[in-house]
Amino acid sequence: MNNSRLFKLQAGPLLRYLVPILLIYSFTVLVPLVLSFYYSLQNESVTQFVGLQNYMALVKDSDFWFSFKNNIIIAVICVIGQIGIAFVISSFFMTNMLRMASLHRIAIFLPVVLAPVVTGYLWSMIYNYRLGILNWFLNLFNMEPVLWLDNPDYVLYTVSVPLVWQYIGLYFIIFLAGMQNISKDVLEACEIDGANWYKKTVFVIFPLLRNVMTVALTLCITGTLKVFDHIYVMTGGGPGRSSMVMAQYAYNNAFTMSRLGYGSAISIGMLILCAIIVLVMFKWIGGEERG
Amino acid sequence: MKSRKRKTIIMLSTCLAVSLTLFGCSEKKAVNENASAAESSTDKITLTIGHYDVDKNGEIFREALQEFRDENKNINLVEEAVPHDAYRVKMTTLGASGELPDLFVANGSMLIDYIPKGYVGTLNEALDADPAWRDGFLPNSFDEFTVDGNIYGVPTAMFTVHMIYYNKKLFQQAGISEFPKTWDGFTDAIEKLKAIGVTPIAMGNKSNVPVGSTIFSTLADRFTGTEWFHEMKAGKAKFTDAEFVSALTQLQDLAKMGAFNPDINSIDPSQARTLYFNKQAAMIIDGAWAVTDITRDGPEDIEKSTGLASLPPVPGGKGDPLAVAGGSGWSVAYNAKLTGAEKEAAIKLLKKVSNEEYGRKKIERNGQPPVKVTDYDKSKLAPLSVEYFQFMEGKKFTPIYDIQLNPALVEVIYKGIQDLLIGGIQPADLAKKIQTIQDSQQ
Amino acid sequence: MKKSTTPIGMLLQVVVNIVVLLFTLSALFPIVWMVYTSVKSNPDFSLNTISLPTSPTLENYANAFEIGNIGSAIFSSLLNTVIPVPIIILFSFIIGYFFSRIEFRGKKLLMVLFLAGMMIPIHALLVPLFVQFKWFGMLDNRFTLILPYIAFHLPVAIFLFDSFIKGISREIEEAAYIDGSSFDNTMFRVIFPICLPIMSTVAILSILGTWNEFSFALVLNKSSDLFTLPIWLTFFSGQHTTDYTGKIAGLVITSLPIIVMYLFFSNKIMSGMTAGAVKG
Repeated sequence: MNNSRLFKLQAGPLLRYLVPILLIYSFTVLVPLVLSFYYSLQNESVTQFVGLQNYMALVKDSDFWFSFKNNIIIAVICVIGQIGIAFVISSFFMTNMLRMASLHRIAIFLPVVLAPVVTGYLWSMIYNYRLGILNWFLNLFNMEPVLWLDNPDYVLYTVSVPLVWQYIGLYFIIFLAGMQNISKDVLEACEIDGANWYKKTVFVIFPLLRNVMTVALTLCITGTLKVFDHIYVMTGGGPGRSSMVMAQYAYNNAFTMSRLGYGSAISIGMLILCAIIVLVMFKWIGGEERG
Repeated sequence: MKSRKRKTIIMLSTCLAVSLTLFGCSEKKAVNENASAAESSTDKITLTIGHYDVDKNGEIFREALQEFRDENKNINLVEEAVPHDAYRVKMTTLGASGELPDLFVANGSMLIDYIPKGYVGTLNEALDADPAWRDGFLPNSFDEFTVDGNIYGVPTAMFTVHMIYYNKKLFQQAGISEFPKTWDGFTDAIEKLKAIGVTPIAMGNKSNVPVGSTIFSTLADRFTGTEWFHEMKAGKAKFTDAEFVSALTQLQDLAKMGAFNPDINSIDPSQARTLYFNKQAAMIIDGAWAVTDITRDGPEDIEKSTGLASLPPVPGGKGDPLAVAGGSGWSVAYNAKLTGAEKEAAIKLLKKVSNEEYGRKKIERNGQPPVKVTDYDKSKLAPLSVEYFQFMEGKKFTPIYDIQLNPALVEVIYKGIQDLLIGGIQPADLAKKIQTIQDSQQ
Repeated sequence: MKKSTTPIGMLLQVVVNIVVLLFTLSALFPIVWMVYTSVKSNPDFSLNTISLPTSPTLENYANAFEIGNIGSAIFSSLLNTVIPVPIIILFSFIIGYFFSRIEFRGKKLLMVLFLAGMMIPIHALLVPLFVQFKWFGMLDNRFTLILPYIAFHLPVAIFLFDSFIKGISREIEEAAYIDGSSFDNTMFRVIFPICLPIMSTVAILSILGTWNEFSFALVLNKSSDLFTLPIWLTFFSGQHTTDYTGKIAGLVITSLPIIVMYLFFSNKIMSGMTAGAVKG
């Protein structure tokens, strides 16, 4: 069968589907993006063209690179935490190990349906120094209360936990959907061969999920590199700049400091950095595939 | 083939129809608006006003707007009101594209951003045309809204942002007979309060504004004096000057000695006030608005045992040791686009929210109006409010940083102060960082 | 299938069960906490945030219905979710199908453009979109938010569909074409139903995104009758004060419809997945 002829684009579908959707997308996302780039070439109050001056300043802005570093740390935590845990949990679901599987399935996804703002708000209550449940637990064991959100040494990790907590369910569902697509015959065959959970997961399921894994990684990385709501609600990037992330920094510049030009430059900078990271990731995954 | 073509046409037209409905609706509304605007030019004027007085504290303002509507049937006053934080985001977006409402509530810092862009109308003419209105304001109440002699906003209140509310009973328990008058006495008191197991000063600095505004503006003035501030704005003095650095150091020392609640940077002022209400904290430092909050929400015994004070003088300080940061801060301004009848209507509304009658209502509900109110029912005032006015007698106002400086500088100083409180940055380094931003602004 | 019989296998099974159960409880607790806290009074709350309410009160809810205009906020939120979400699903399925199946020139570029949509911080578009909508007279309208909400959620949705469809065997379509199925028929009648599992994920994500969106709802509309629930929620905080338990009641009001809907459809979502598995 000649696939290339079958799956070639014809004029009809092009006009019917591609063009209108693309128009809407261009109008509401691409044009504003170009406009945003245009702002980034202007001075702080967007009254004068300054060329690449904002970008020169951005490259030298230690606060920006500090937030970028924070973003990378959060991204690593989230890739390991969200995708890792979700994968492990969903692989349990492919065995008969779990009791109350349907309850777990429903509950694990539940945090995903909360608004990010609600999650941030709930967790700032959980982290509360005096009244939060975590310090209440510590108190039960006669331990000193911890300043979860005030200590610059670990505030970045404390704000990452709610992110992991909230989105495990999303990747769990994605993996589960992917795993359901793995043919039952393959799984049964390897069980007959006497493969245990570990072997089945690592040697059979994982390779078959490469595609799904790429999706999960891309979603997770792009999502965490532009994370905003959770941190905005919990710390606002503080104390000081200790939990500052790029999106918050861009927001502060554009909306708190009235520096729209520079704020736009930060956003475009974010886009570029994010694109580079995703490209590297694609290359890496693609390279591994070949090897 | 034929059917496919038909399908194409159907799909295309559906898409078109959907998008046209969406656009069409918008256009229709725009046309309607234009039509009503055209009609109104003869009989009815539409004015929009942006403000954030949506909560209990804003009742007086909303009532005044309603009265204005009732009195002026030919003016259609449309409120665009959202709470404070959302309002700031909205106004920045509107400001970035020059789409401000006809009238809007703005603080000095926002005006610094808008005025050079030509968004804000001047009030000199209108004020001079009505001397009774002009002279009704308290002295210096226009300071924050005046640039090069042009007045851009009518103040909405005039008060201090720095007031120490302290619990006299807890002070007595700690063996402090009266509020300390020297800095050493103050630090002594803090140690004594710590010794009886209460938080000396409860602050909620999560949004990074409270400490900067209510403590640091005053503390800095104690060291630098107000003259320095004006020189700094003119570019003649620098944040790296020794006086300013000592102010930062002094604040950091307070934090280091445990004057504040340890979770200072993760709670908000409401939560800090709760600590004070629950007698877990001996002091809160907050603006004059807390007078209203304490009398309305605080337990009765707390209200009774609350005393008012301000920071004691600092050793070697150049500033007036009694002055407190304050002023009018927020104003109502009007859009420079307004002309003719619309402008007249706008001025009329501005008078409505700044005349003596409005001031009287405000003072009788424990507010602090920017106008002279000669005759009001003193019995309506809460004891704390009476005490406030006594306390403020003869006190000078010094600049509030977040009102008088541009937003970028405010963010750097206040965020830096948060860092300072947790020891994340040293005073000298922070001063340098602030100066860098100051330099980039000129 | 057989169960683990070795002691280590048993132990592992117990540990796994406990760990997953703990996680499940951690996922349930905040929601339960939110619900019972919403019937506490503010003083009760400020003394102990964790304990059960000493004297439950519905006052917070009574107050919530007096704050702002909750009726129109619910209507606006519903409208801004019900209209965009099906369109998002349809559009992203179509583009996802094109990306995964059809070869055409410029596909790489298109994919990059949509991928870029996943990487922009949404606030970067706030001012530009406001300016653009002003030019076109599209501000402050019942339907203002529909287009942005569709467009913002397309990239992730397309990405999900694209990868899912890649996992479906091409033989299915080849068989359909041989049977004389047209392009549209193949796409919508054959492939679309197979995508049910991922469709439910896309639907949930888009519903969440549109239901909770704040910044654009705040800036693009100014009439108070067009405010959505997230805007309404801000009315619990003043410049210097916050009504905590009131706000939590507000959070319950805004989150509960989504949670209930999810619980209601969760079985469908799960069975959808199994259906996908059978066909795949």
